[in-house]
Amino acid sequence: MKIQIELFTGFLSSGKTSLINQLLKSRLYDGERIVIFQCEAGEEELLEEGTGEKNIFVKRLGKDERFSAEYIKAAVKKYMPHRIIIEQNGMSRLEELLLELENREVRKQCGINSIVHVVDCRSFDMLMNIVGSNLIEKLSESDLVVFNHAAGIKKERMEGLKRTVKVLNKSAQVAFIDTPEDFSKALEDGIIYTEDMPSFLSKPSDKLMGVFFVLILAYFLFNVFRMLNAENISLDFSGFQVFITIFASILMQALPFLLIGVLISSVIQIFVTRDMVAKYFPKNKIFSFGAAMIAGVFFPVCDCAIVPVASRLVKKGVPLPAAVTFLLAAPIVNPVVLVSTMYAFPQEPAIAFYRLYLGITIALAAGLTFQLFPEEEQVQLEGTVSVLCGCAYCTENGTDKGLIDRVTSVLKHAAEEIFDVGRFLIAGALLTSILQMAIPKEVLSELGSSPTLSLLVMMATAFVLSVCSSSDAFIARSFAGQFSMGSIMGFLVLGPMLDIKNILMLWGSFKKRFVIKLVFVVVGLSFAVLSVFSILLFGV
Amino acid sequence: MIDMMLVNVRKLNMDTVLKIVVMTGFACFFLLTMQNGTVQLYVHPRIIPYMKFGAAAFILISLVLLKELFKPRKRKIRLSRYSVFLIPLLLFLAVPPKTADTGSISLGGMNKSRSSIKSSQDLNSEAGIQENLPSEEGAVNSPAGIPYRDVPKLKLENGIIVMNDQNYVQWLQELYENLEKYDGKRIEVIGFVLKDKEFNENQFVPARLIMACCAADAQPIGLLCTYGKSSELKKDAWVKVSGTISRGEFKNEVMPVIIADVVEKAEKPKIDYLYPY
Repeated sequence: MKIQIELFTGFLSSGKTSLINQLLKSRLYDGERIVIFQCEAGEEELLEEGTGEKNIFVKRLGKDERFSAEYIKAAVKKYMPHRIIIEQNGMSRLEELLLELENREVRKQCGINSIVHVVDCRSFDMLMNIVGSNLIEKLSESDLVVFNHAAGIKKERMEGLKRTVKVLNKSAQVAFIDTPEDFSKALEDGIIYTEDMPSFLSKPSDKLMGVFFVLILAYFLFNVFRMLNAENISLDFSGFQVFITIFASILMQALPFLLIGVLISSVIQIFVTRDMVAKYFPKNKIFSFGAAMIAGVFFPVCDCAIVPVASRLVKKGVPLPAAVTFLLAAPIVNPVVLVSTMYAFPQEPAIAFYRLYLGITIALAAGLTFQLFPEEEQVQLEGTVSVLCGCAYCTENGTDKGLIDRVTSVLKHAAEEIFDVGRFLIAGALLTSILQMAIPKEVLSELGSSPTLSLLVMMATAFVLSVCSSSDAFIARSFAGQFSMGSIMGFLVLGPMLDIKNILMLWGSFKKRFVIKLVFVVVGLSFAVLSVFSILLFGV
Repeated sequence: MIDMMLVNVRKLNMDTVLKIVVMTGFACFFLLTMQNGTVQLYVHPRIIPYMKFGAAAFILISLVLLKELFKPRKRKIRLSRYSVFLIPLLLFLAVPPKTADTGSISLGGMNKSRSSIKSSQDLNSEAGIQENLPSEEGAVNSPAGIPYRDVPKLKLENGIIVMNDQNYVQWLQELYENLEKYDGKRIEVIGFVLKDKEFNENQFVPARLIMACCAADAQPIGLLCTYGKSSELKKDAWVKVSGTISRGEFKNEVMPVIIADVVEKAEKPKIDYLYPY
C-alpha cells in the first residue's frame, strides 16, 4: 500500500486546520502514523496528539520556505508514515504543489488520495472577485469542496454555490457544514464522499444517449429476428451498415465545422477577458440594441458560451433587453455558423441569408418585448459567479504568459470544449440517422405535409437535440427531404437561440421567472415569425 | 470510507489518454477514408478539405495534450463522457460504408425524386439565383481538385444519348425539359435496378443515387424504363440499358420513358453516387 497523501487547501481562516483536526480526532485514521506539513500557520493550532493510537508528526514550514519533494522524501525516510497530510494556503498555486508530488521517487512511494478545498461561504464572492483564478484552480482540482460556516445561508444561495463548483468541476463533491464538528460527523456517517456521487445515467444527456443506444440495439435485434423468422441463416447487416454510414457521414461533415467553431471560441475565451466585452458595449438604449445585433460577428462563440457573456453584460450595466437580443442573435450572426449553413445547403445559399435575417428579427423582437414589458426585479441569481467557462485552462488567464503558452491554452481549452459540445452533435447525428432508418417514410411525410405541425416538430427537435450552432445545419440538412423548407428554417433559427443545454446554462445564472419568460417569448415569436415567413416565401 | 470512494492516482492521466485516443481516432478515420477513397461514399467531395482541416486540428490538439499525459489531475474519470465518442468511432472504423440502398430511401416513385430536384431549382430561381443548367462553362473544380461539377456540353455520341457519371443529371434534366427533341432517339444508360410498388410489372428504373451533402440525403434518380422481362431483374443489380426514348406517362404525368430492348449486366461503378451540385 502506498503512502496516502491528503491535500487540504483553503484561504486564511477558512477553517481548514480545524477540519484537519477533526479528521485526526475521528476514527478514520486509527492506528496510523501521520505526517502533517503545514505550509502556513493560522490561528488554529494543529493537534499534535491524536486519539486512537495515531502517531502524528507535524512539520511547519516557515514563510519563506517553499514546499518541495525533498520534504516528502525526508519524511518518508524518517517516519515511514501511512499517510501524509499537506495543508496549503489558498494563495499558493495547487499546480506547483502537484508538480512537486510528480517527482519520480515520490510517485513511487506515495499517491494522492484526495484533494479537499475548504472555503468560507460568507467570503466566497469576495474571494472570487479578488483572487478569482486562484480560487477557480482549487475548485476545479478538488475532489471535495467544503463550504464552511453554512449556518444561516439560504437554500437558494447554497444551490448557487454548488452550481458554481459543478460548472467548474463536475466530479467534485460539495458539502456544507456549519461548524468543524459537522465535518467529523459527516465523515463518520459517510455522508460526505457518498452524497451525490455521479453515477452513470444520472445526467439527462447520458440518459438520452442510453435511450439511443437501446434503440439501436432494438433495431439490430429486430433485424436479427426478422431474418430468423425468414429462416435465413445469414444475418442482414446491410441495414445496420447503412445506418452507420449515414451516422458517420453526418459527423464527418459537422465535426470539422464544430472544431472551427470551438477553436475560434477558445481563442476568444483565452485572449479576451470577460470584462472587455462589457467595457466596450454601449449602455445607451438604442446603440446597445444595435451593438447587440452585430456583436456576435466579432464574438463567434458557440451558443452555450454566450450565456455567461450575456450574464456578464447585465451585471456590468448593459440594459437587459439589449442583453437578451445579444444572447439570441450572437449564435446566429456568428460567421462560422453562416459558412457552415452555406455548405450544408450548397444549392440554396439563400437559406443562410434567411437564417441570419430571421434570427436577427426574432432576437430584436424578443429584446423589444423585454423593453415593453420590463422585468421589475433583478433577474440574475444573487451571488452566482458567472464563470466564463467551465474549464481549468481559462483560469490561467490572469497570469502573464507568453504567446506560445496562450496558444497551447487555446488548444487545451478546445479539447475540453469539443467533448462538452461534441456529445450533443453525436446524439443529434445518431437521432437523425435513426429517424432516417427506422421511422416509416409515410409517417414523416404525413408530418411534413402539415405546415404548422411540421414547424412545431422541427422546433421541438432543435430544442431537444441541442446541437451546437456551428454544425447544426448539417443535421437540418438531413431532414430536408421530408420536411418543408419553412419548418427546416424553424430548426435552424430556434436551435441556436434556445435548446436544452442553453436553458441549463441560463438556469444557472438567471432567475427562474426570467428564464421561463424568455422561453415563452422566444418560442412564441419564433413560431409567429416563421409561420408568416413560410407562407410568404414558400406559400405553405 | 474515504479510501474506498476516491480513486488512486494513476501514473497516466486517463482523462488525457482518452481525449487523445478519441481525437486521433477520428483523425485516423477521416484520413483512412480519404486514403482508400471511401470518403465519397460518406460525403460530398467538397467537404474533404474541411475534413483534412479537422484531422489536422485533432492531431495538433492531441500533440499539445501529450504534455499533459502525466499531469496529476486526478479527477474521477467520467467514462461515459468519452464512451459517447468511442463507441461510434469504433463502429465507424469497424463497419465498412454501404451505399444507402433503395430499401432505406424515401422514394415516392419517380415523381418525388424528380420534383425534389425541381423544387430546389424553383427555390433558386425565386431567390434570384442562376440555375446551374448545362452551360458552356468549363469544369468547375472542387477545392480538393476533384471535379464534381464537370458540366460537359451535352452531345449525342453517334446519334445515341450516352448517360455517364459526368452528364447523368444534365441529361436527365434535358430529357425532361425538351422531350420532343429527343423522342425516338437511342439511349444508353447504366444504373441499378429500382422497383416500386406503383410500377407495372414490366417497369423499372435504372437509377443512380445523387448526393447533395452526405449519405443521409442520398436520393435515387433515373428514367422510367419499360422492359418486357422486368420481373426477372434483381433489385439493386447493376444493369446497362439500351433502348429508345419515348413519350410516356406515369401517374398522369408526361415524362420521358425508355423503351428498352437490351438490358444486360453491368459492372458497378467505382463510386456509387453522383454529385450534381
